[in-house]
Amino acid sequence: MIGQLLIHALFGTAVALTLTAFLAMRREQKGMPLGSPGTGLPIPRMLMTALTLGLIAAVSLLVALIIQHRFDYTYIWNYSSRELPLHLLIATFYSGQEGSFLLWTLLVAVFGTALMSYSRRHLYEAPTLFFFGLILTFLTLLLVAKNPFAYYYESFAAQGITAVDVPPNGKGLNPLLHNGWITIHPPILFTGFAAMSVSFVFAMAGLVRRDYHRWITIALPWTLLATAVLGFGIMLGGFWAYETLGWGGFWGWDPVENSSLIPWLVTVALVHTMMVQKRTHGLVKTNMVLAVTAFIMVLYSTFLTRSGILGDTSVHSFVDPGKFAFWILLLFMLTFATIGAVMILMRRSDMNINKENFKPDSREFLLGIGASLIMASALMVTLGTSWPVIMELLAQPKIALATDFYNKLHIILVPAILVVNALSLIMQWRHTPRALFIRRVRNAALISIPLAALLFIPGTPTAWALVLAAAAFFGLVVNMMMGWTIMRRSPSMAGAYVSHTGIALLMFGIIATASYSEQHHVVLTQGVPVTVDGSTLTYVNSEQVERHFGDREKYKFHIKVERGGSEATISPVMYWSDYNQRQSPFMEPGIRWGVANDLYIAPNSAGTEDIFHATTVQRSGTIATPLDSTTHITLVRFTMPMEEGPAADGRMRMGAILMANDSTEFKIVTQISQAGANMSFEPIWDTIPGTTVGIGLSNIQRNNADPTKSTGEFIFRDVTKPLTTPREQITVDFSIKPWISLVWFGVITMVLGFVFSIVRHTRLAKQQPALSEVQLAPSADIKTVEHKVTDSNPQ
Amino acid sequence: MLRTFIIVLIVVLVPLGIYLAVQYGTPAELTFAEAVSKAATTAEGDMAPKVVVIATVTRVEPDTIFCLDKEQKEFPVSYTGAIPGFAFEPNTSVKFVGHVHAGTVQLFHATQAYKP
Repeated sequence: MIGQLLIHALFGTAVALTLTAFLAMRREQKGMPLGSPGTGLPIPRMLMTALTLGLIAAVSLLVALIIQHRFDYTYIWNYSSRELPLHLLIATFYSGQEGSFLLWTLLVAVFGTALMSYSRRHLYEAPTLFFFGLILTFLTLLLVAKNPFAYYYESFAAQGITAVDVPPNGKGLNPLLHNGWITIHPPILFTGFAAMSVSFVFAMAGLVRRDYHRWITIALPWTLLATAVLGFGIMLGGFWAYETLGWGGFWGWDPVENSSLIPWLVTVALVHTMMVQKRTHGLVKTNMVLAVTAFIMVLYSTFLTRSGILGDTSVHSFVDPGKFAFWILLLFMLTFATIGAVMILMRRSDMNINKENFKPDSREFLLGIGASLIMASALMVTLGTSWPVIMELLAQPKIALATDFYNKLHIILVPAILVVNALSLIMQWRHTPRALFIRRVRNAALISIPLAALLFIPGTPTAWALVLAAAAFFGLVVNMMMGWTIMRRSPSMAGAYVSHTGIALLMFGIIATASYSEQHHVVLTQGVPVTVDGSTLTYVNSEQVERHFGDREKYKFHIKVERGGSEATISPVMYWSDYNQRQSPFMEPGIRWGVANDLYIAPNSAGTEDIFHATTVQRSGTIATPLDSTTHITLVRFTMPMEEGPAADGRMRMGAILMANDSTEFKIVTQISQAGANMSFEPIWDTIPGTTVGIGLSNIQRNNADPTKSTGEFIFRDVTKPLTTPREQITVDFSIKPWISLVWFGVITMVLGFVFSIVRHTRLAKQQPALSEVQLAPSADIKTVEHKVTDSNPQ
Repeated sequence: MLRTFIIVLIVVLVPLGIYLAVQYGTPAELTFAEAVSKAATTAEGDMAPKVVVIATVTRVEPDTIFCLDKEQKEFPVSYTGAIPGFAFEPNTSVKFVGHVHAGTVQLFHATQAYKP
């Protein structure tokens, strides 16, 4: 009950915060000194802190309840279980929809609180608190709709469940999430989402204050932080998919992946256009629009992936949040889109004063082109991700777009972005002398084109791979050349060059894995070497692991891989879990990590070799035996356990009455062991009368609704030959992933570059004068003191 | 000039994007037998691609709808999608979207149903 009350109290606090901050903002607009106590600002300040503390209390309470296995709470029953270790129990708190909303809300509140003194210093506090308050109002309203503290008996009251009916155990966490990545990836991703709100809030504050340039310097370090954190979070998701989930790759253009990528792309474009405005005071409206769009895309992506609207068009499962939450999500998005649009339109004439017409031979022009191309990518990914929704609106069948849609568009966009990025670094601000431009391009091209041609040595890649490689080499060479020059002058200015170098390395990783990686479907019989793609694979044995967990049966399959004189044992994993009633196995790939290549084995299925020609027959069905096509059998009926009686060891017995060619009926029997819902059959061999064909009953699939549709699986052998034991067999997808390490190294390098830039721009923001020191709009072309600060950074 | 570039980009890219989306976002229209063979070529554990089967309902049982596809072959449909705006009644023509699960009994698992 405390938890539910707390959630409602948090919603009330968020509403109060919004209202009091709004009143403070109004008082400031009526002439009270900005940020003075007379505006009533101490109240929303206090409410913001109280809201954050309340959210911390709510999270702590939920975690404590999860650790105590309080399955009388629906959320805990749904996502937790007694078998989970502590770190996964804690991760349970954000594994479901309600918990992830709580985490997101907490992180937004933390950013809001952390920014209070920062925004106070820049006299942005009232509008900052107001917009954070409004965001938190919607987020806490979502928590009211999707309350993580709802009781089990409340959720299932319609089924006659009362307060005394407490489940003894929870449903547990999806086994695919049982690894360390769930403790790292979602919090980082949600930190990125929460950080995305900062540039929006500062842009709105800038519009409220008619302060169209200074907000750029104030917001830039936070926008860089959001881009770095979200980019890192996306990369971790890709690494998780590659390393644990066995999807074979790191990116599948799935709606959930795209929903993180879209706001990230918009923010990357925003970072570049902010740089342009900082330097030239141009693109004022563009930056406002992009700051709003980045935040709206976070909300739109959340709406797409959390409203249940995409249905079953993803490899991720989407939970339908219910109509109330659906409408809140929609209203949340529409409200902020409307606020952003109205605010920009209201200030449109102010912002129009300083019209910039960039010269084509200037860096700002090319940065504008680059940002447009990045936005084009974001637009196309949005179109693709929204396609099922568009189809639904048109009452047409909805399916997720094939990955070729995204790949084909990005074959054009990515090389263009890489080349434009490189050219923008070659250019100078305002104007670039023609001779300088030609010299720099020639030098970079002379190195990058031969390097791209080297890709022909390991094999002939596709034309698009060559174009992309040439563009990536061009980008890499330019960034390293220019970066080296800058680094010698001031290492703190190297951020952009390091980031862009990371992007080029990432592209090389993508090109190498996409062009030179081949997947081979291999059936491995125990002890029998199979040579594929220059590697010899031998399935050694299987080993049951994690035996102490009663809810799963988990096996490691040890496969020896010999390649080029070296030898490694790779152990993919398959397991059956109570989570899905052991209906189908969960799988994890085995990887031999390397700098130049990874050896990747994804399991498909495991069993024994089919030396007994297993064949399924429906009741009343007739088949020719696999060993002798002239011998037929007809499955007459099954005999039940009560008819057969138990085996000597107590096991259940069932049988099948069969008819041979000569209409002779005979019976074969099988012994059944039962473990939970699983049944294992041990056939007792018999011989088909008048033949040398041995037959056994290896499985029975009963159809209780229609017994005539029950089926039996029969196995056959030649009784004149000795009985052999079938060997274990595993079917795997084996691939060599060349230079995939560059994907991870590239993203880490890119994030490192962001860190350099964050440090530098935080320092610059500290030098930013207070609002009272600068002339305010309506003249949007004010020259702030910041602009006068000597900034020799050519970024 | 930047504005011109953006306009040209939009004019070129949006129609191209829609054209490609139509190419890669329209499920193939198949018969039940073709849907079965599509599932058979899918790796075990993987989800077979979604396809459309236009069928005529022959009879409706509690968990299964029996239909005739355009080759007049009867096949069972397990429908688990939202309640459509029409009833599954004999002689009704329905456009089912779904797939046959690989490695199981031959049954079309539909998650969407439309009037053709």
